[in-house]
Amino acid sequence: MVLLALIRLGDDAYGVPISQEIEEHSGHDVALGSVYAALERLQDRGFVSSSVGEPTPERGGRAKKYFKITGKGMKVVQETQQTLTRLWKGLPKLQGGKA
Amino acid sequence: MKVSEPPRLATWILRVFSWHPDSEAILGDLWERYQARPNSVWYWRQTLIEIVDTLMRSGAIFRIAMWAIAGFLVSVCWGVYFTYADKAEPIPSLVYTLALLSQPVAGVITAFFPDLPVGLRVIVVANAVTYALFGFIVEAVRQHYRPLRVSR
Repeated sequence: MVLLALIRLGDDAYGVPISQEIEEHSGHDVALGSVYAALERLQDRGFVSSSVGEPTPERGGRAKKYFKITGKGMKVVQETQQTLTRLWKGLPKLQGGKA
Repeated sequence: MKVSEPPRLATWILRVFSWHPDSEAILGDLWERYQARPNSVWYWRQTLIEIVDTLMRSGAIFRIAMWAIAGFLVSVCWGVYFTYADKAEPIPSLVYTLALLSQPVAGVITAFFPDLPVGLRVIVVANAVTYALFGFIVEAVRQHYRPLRVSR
């Protein structure tokens, strides 16, 4: 979900829009700390890279941390999508068809 | 533009007890979202989730639990000692001082509320909580003086 949110947001991906994107599409409240924890793990695995922006007054003088999906991360998203599609094909009951 | 300041205590707690390498960015994000939706309950909720998450992920929760167990055992041992100590002989002052120092709550009760009827069970629980709190402070100091992780 976090990787998909990063792809959707492009260059403007930092904590606030990422969490809002996930909240909007999942319908659940998201803890910012959990988003950062997930991003940290993804960064450790080389799926995401980060850069620090300039501090701004509307953030209490704190800088934004921007995240970007890497080529490796993009490949993993595509592979995951293919795996999920294959798994869904084997579940006609969940697709409204007959078992 | 009117700036709404989020709850100061929650921000202070986050600054001190969030050991996340991105804690400044998280604080900035929380601040930014608070400007759009000033809701103190939401801000406190985010703060508590972040603290619990940090404790779980850093493994600090287990070390704090060890402190609590130590506090529990110290009280139980003193309880056993005082139960089986020879009542005819006065307890040496050094032992008594040591017992009070290693059980701060018992020490405070003895010093300021000597007539308060407090059972061993209450002392044991209070000591476990006191030691856990101490462990929490030790962890906070430890995490703040740990070398920063270098971002890749």
